[in-house]
Amino acid sequence: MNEELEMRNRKNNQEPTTQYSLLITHLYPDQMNIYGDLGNIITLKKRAEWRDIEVQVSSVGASDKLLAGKTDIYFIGGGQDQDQIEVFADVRKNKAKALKKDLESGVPMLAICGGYQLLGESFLTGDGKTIKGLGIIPAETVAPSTEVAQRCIGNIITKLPEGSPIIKGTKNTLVGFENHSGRTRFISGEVEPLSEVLVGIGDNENAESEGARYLNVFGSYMHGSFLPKNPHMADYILETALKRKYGDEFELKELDDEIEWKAHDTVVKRFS
Amino acid sequence: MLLVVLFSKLLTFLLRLTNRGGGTTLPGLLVEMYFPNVFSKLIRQIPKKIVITGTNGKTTTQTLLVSMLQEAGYKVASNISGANLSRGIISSLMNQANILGKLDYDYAVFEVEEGTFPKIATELDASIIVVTNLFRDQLDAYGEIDKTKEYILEAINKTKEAKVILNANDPRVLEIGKEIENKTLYFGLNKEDQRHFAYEGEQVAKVAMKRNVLTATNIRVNNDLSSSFDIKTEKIEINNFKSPGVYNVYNALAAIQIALTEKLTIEDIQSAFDKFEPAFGRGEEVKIERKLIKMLLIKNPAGFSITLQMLNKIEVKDLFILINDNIADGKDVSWLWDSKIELINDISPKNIVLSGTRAEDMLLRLKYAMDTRIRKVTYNHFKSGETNIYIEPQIQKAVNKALEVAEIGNYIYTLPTYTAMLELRKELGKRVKLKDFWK
Repeated sequence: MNEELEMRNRKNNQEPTTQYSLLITHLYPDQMNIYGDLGNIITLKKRAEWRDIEVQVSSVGASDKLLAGKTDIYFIGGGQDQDQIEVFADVRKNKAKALKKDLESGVPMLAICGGYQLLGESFLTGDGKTIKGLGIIPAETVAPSTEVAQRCIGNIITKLPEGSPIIKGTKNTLVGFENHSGRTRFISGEVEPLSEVLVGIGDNENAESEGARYLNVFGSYMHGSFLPKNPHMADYILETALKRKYGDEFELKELDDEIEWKAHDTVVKRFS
Repeated sequence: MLLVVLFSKLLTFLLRLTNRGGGTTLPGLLVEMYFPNVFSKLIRQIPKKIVITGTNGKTTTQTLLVSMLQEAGYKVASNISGANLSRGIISSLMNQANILGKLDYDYAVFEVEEGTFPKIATELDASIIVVTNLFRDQLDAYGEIDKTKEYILEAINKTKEAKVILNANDPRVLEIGKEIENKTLYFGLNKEDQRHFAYEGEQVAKVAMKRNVLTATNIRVNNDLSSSFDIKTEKIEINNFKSPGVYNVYNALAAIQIALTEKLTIEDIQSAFDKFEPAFGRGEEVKIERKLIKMLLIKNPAGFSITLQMLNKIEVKDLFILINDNIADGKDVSWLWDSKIELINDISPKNIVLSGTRAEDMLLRLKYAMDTRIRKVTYNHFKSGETNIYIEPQIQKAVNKALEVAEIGNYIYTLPTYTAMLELRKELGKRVKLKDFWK
């Protein structure tokens, strides 16, 4: 899918008028992409291109090398438990060093579902296997079983904390759809939850929060896809990456997001 | 049991009379809850049971197969309405039984939803089981993709005597073939033809395309989307099979494979194809105000993408997309982002009308898919280059809009999700006569 997007983009590109560019590294696109998470890459890419910022998407899978210092934005999606076992192992063995270096230095990352779980210390799967994570976020995930009935599934609406830089004007909600067996909880207080649950379950049945933020790493269980209906989140990630690369004076041009907010607000209205 | 069947028939009659549905699931649900051994008593009366399961193509395969068996003179019970959970199958049986609860049929051909199949596999006691394909679909219901494969395996393992018929091009389905002891037969397309289909999973099992794989060759798609193809090994030539596109050739092959297993003649098979009308919503055509609504049901990324690929091969002026998010449609619309909506750029229609409970999500998806940026004309009219995009979430208004903007004689290629398709048929049924979906 990424190759097709690239080819289509090249077909339609006119003379490069841009001096700004971003490299998005898509981790494990084959194994970690089962709930439409590609929509997040599509959203970041288009929103950048609409501002005349050139975007390259690089796929890094199990057999690929990852070099630190090249990526502007990392993305990893969700996968099935079996794929997660393989991916977690490969990350720890082959990618952890470069990835940790970049993330600790402030490179933004969006990690959805299984990707979010990877950021934590460990994941105990529904059939009893413990997989060690990257350990960047002090969190652990436990899945009670493999029963569908015990999964957290449904539309989810959350509220960003007051003063959050992600909030745009009065738009302080995030909307999505969750579908996870894992319950994630924080082991220490050093990690910020991403948002407060208004409708739905969130990280686990007892927490009232959804997702996490550590430096510029964002983890969330939200599919939907996550970014298309949450343009403020998409722009915050883009802006963070661009300021890091081109300096704090960089300003992200405003876009007309009427269609995005229409879809966002329809969800809020319907499921509140 | 007499009383139960009688009650069920009365209930169905009342439901249909008061327009509250086709009686295809409620009676069964009640019986399932209060009289659990009625199902056994009913199904036992039919000597041969054929089960069709898999992600896409169950209804088309079923409709074709029933038609072939009837051509050969057999009496066939089925659930052509597509109600494929256990309550739907029970309802079907009760509706097709006489007042005394007797079922006088030679065959029962049932499409069975993947998750339901293991629960009723023992009672069903199928002599033939078909697995059409396995794609990601309604993950909010299943949780994960591999679960559906596990359900089917569980069911097949309860019916070790059944002949199992599998799609040789689908790696996930081939995995099933590796893990069962049953006699197995295959159907598929050759390497050249199958590369358009984005099957999932790694190719772990290779099936020699020589023995046991019923293959269609010389496949041609006509302008009305019907297909023609040959099966050389059986000396079968099919012309103008009305279910649209190459992907339906798979369903034709599955049905033919079963027909051949049951020793039907080539004449009976070809005759069934000649008379075949597409299953409701799956290529069904409705003429209204001198325009033609062609319904192409979409349910998951594979189906949506393949449908768009097929439309790319003909001239399309009017597209009508209806996305609902009720349980039967899949509550999670993330699947739109796995669908290759970008193909609409190549299709280049003049008009796109969007409707359904998630019309806004589809508009959003289009915004990110169209090469030429969408600009607003009015609150419900947008444009991308020369393509008009209208958004009318309410289906009645949307039908009006689609008819208004299409020119006389045009096909309006209509892509609804499941419940949107039912609502659309109901709406169209107010204006023209449609076939009842349970017939």
